Amino acid sequence: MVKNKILVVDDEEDVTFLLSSLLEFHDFSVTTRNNPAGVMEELEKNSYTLIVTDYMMPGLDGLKLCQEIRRSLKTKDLHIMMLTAKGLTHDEHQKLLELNVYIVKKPYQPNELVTKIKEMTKQ
Amino acid sequence: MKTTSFLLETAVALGVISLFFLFLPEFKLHPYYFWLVTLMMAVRYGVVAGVVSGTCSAILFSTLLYASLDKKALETFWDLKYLLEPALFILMGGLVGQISQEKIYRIFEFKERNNQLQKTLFQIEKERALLEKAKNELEKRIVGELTTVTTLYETAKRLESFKLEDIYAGALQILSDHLEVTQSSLYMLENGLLTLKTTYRAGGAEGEAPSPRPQFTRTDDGERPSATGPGRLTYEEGKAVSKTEGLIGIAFETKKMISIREALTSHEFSTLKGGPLMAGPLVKKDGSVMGILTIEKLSFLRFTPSTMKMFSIILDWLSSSLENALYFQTVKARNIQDEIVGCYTYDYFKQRLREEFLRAKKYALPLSVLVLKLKEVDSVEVSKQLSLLKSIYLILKHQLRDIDLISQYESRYAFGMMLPTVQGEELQKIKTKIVEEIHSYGFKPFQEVEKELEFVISESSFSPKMQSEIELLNMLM
Repeated sequence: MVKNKILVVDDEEDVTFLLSSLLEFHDFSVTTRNNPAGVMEELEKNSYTLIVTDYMMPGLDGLKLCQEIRRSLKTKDLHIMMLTAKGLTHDEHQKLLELNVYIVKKPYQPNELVTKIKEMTKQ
Repeated sequence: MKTTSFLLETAVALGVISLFFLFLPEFKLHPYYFWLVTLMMAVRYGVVAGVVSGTCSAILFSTLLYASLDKKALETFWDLKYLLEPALFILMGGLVGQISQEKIYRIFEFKERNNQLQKTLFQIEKERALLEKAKNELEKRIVGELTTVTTLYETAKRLESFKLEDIYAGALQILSDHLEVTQSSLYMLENGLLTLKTTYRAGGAEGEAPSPRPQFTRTDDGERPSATGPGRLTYEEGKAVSKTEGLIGIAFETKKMISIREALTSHEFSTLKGGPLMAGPLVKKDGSVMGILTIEKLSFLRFTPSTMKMFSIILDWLSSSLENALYFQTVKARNIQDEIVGCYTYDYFKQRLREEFLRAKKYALPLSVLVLKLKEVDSVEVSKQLSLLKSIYLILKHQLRDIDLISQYESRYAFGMMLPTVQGEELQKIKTKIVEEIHSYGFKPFQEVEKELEFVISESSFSPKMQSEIELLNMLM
């Protein structure tokens, strides 16, 4: 069985490690990035099924990243899961929904997150 | 060819013919007898003998013929018919001698060559014998060197460990295997006392017949090495000996290996009685003594200078291995964090708990300990195991405060958590949160896909009645 590839982006190493090992235990192939710079290059270079990313990271605007993903021919159909601790404004929330982004509020239940990821990637 | 031989033989043969002629009336003079003598000499000795015996035969034949002829016949004595036969003796003697001589020379040459070959063969045989001897010596040396290399390799293997118990057992095993030592002990200097670490007794318990070739086994599961078969290793914790008395005292003080034989030249027997036969110091590179290795019993025939030399080499080797292992243990003890998982080590946990316990006792502060034990994690694939342990550690870290300490607890598959200023209800809340959080991840690291990770958490809290942190830990059981 070909494993679904997931890119996990978060500036906190502990979070990326926990999330990646959790997903690996559920048979996903996971790549992590703690530096948001170069995420687009990574997505265009390698083929992913899903990106799980934090909304607020230094040097990265979550909304802007989602817009870039949808603009790129290679990544326009990529599933996006946005983790956010911050309360989003109505406008931000709307824009993200328009971009077909699944929003998860922190703190999240890991098993529920995995269930949703499985649903999104049809694994 | 000897001249005298053919002359003598010719003389004897012609003498016999002459005697027959003189004393046997019925003997008739006939040239055949002379032909026989001439040809025999010619064939046997060659041309000179042929000519000489032919000439002698001719003279004797003519003389006897002359004597046997009547007067009438004597008038014709000088006729050709009487001279032809003697002339033929000389001629045929020379001719047959010449032919024969070539064969004689060839035979002589063959004999010479044969002799030469015999000499060469003898020389070759001698060289072969020497080479054979050299080969045997070389083989012996190769076997000897191979044995030495094997011994060295085995010795190195036994002393290469960083576990002190392995080295103690290895050293006593080497003494047993190579010096036929049937009882030996190893003492280490601890808090100023020479403390017995390991004793080896061939034949098992005291009183049993010793065996010179005991078998040992090493264990790699963290347990102490043991000996099987007739040999037995014993660990007698805490038993200390004096570092100033007896043979051990001499070895400790002089920092030199000593045997009872040497010690008796300068010490009273009563001071050495009941002690070991040999004792040697385990010396660090800086010259300080870290322990003593003793031989209490060994085969009488092995109490030789070569055994002492070997014992001295083993001491050097053992000293070096022990020093490295001790250094490793020191460095390991200083390392307070598990590099892979990220949590603190169990040693550090115990050290910090001791400090926190004293603080709690002094200022009557709450202090609690939680221990989380994961079940069956040792059956999880190694790569997943590390990932799982680190995940659990991170979960715990996120649930606890910065002042709390998370460490390994006894083994890698258990975590100890020290929670200063926490007890009672608050502790229960934390415990519940940890359980819920770990369950929320739903870890399924096992081969059986649906099997979830199981764990238990035990707790204990400080009570002013407690005298030490050990009591706090004992409450966890």
